[in-house]
Amino acid sequence: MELDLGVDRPGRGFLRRLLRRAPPEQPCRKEATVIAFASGKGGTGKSFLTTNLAIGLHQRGLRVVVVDCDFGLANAHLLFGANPRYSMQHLLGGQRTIHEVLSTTPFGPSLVAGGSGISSLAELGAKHMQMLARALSQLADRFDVLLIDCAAGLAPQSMITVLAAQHVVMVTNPEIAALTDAYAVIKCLSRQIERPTVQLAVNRVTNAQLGRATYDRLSEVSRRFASLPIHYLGAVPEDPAVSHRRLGQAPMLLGMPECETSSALQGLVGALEAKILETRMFPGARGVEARMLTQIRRW
Amino acid sequence: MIRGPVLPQLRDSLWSLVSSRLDCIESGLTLVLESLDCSDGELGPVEGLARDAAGGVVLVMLAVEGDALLSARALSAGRFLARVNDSFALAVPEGNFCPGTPGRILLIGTEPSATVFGEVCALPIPGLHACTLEPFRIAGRERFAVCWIATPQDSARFLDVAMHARDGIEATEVEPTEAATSPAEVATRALPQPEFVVPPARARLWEAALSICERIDSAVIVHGDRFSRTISWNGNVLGNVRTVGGDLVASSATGVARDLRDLRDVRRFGDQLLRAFVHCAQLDIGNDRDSDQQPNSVRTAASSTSGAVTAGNDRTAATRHAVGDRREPASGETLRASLAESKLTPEEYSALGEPASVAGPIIEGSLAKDRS
Repeated sequence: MELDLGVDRPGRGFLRRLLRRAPPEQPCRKEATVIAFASGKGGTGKSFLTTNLAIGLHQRGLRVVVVDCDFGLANAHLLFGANPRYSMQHLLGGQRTIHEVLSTTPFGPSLVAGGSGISSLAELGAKHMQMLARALSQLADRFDVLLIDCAAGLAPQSMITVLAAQHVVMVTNPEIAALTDAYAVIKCLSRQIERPTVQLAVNRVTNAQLGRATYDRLSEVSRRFASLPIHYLGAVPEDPAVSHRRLGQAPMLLGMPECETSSALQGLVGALEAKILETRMFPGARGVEARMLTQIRRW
Repeated sequence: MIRGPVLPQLRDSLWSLVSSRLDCIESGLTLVLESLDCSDGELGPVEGLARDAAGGVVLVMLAVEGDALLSARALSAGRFLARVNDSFALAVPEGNFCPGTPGRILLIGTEPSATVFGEVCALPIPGLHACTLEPFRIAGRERFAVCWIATPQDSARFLDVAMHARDGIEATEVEPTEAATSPAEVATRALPQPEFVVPPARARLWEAALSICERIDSAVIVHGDRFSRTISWNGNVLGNVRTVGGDLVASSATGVARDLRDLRDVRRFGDQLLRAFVHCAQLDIGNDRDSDQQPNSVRTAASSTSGAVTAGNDRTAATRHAVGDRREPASGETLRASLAESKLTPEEYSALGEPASVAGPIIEGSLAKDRS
């Protein structure tokens, strides 16, 4: 929505009015830091990272809520070992409020489960996205950190949820397919006026150097072609134990806290916590609902 | 030997240069047909029949040195145009001419053809518009600047200056006789420009837009050709208004384009002009994040502003410049358009797909080599 700057009104001084009308640089109300987990390609480990980092942040004393926005193919509740009664389907269908859909997981963080295997959720319209924006705003008032597990790819619905965040953790693997897809998302982000900072997390690396090398390559390409700097959050090593975990078992960070993967996850939690603290010190002027509605209008 | 840029003087070569770039001479001018004979073959054909941005008929004529029949041909073309103007719409349907729009003769000259050019400009031919092409060479390529000569006084001055130049006297710009009271006046005097043709239904809107431009800053100038006006401030383009058919289309440096249909549109356009001005003048100096979010055109303009630039801002501008920002203006872009633009180019694929990104320990050395 454009501001009426009063340029059509006669008389001098409208430029002064313009400057006076500029919104003061005041922090918005205390709202949760919103972090989206995104990727270009599916299966890179977004939900795995989201759930484990949520637990790590909860262990550090933050009030964390995970919102599973992998519309129609959500599985964060499985990784949390939760069986929530209501999901995003009920919220967006108008049958339940966000407070009714919100559930508590056995490991601390709260969860808004996404519907799984529901095709209608994959084709959400602007009205549904507005409802989601309102719900996220309500959650942001109650929690310190809001983690959004986004759907893979470049669907507009997915992109709107990514752009609602202050930080986006781009999850990728060192494979070329995952890298190019991640870059496509970064390129799209680079074209946005209001966009989150991009943090790169490299999952399933076979050695310690590979994560950094993957970041170096993606960062260089992103800087050169998209003029968008990205930051390195960390890497998680390839671990067969991750894929061998069964339903009902505790997430990696709690189930196997001594293993190399858990150490790497703790490193990511520390890096993310630093970002969260930084964001809380310098909050933006607009809340999550306003950011999301802006994108919905541009849809 | 240093070779100066010279426009081709042979009619055919000059016409081949001009006919492909009519839009550079006047916004929206498009060639419909070539070689229009309107004097029963006695005086030779007019070079081209064109359509202007308002849908009017334009007979394009070239003034070439030694063309003794040019004056007669121009008079004949003028009379022909007066007789059949409205019939062109039916007679030449491919021209898509707009009935009722007065036709014109556009005479294009160069310095060597100053004598014949001046003679034609002095004739009382209704609807005659004249311009000269000033060639120059830049980056190894020839371009031309268009200087409009709108009045008999102007054409006489051009003739006078050209004749002096031929006699070996250096042609210098004529000093204004009165002290300039504002930069806009200076610009207007230095750049004689044809009157802006505004669709009658939009005249009130253009006046409102002009009024806004005047009030933004005294250094804002409005200049352009017959169907286009560019609004700029200290060399920074703030926006542009064009006549397209019966409409006025305004685009601002912030990347927003809109039809001006009512005063509300004008007000919105004014908002965009102001935003562009505020950024160019660095009046939003405290809002770094917002300035980072501005489109490139405004950012570039802001970084090139020389007045009140602090050292810190210089550094920021230099950094932005060094980054080599290649992004398109995104403010007016829809989300779907952004997604469509995210398709990877072969260069990006190539940069991402080199084996170094998937290899093992070799990666470090390979990447270090790349970076060096």
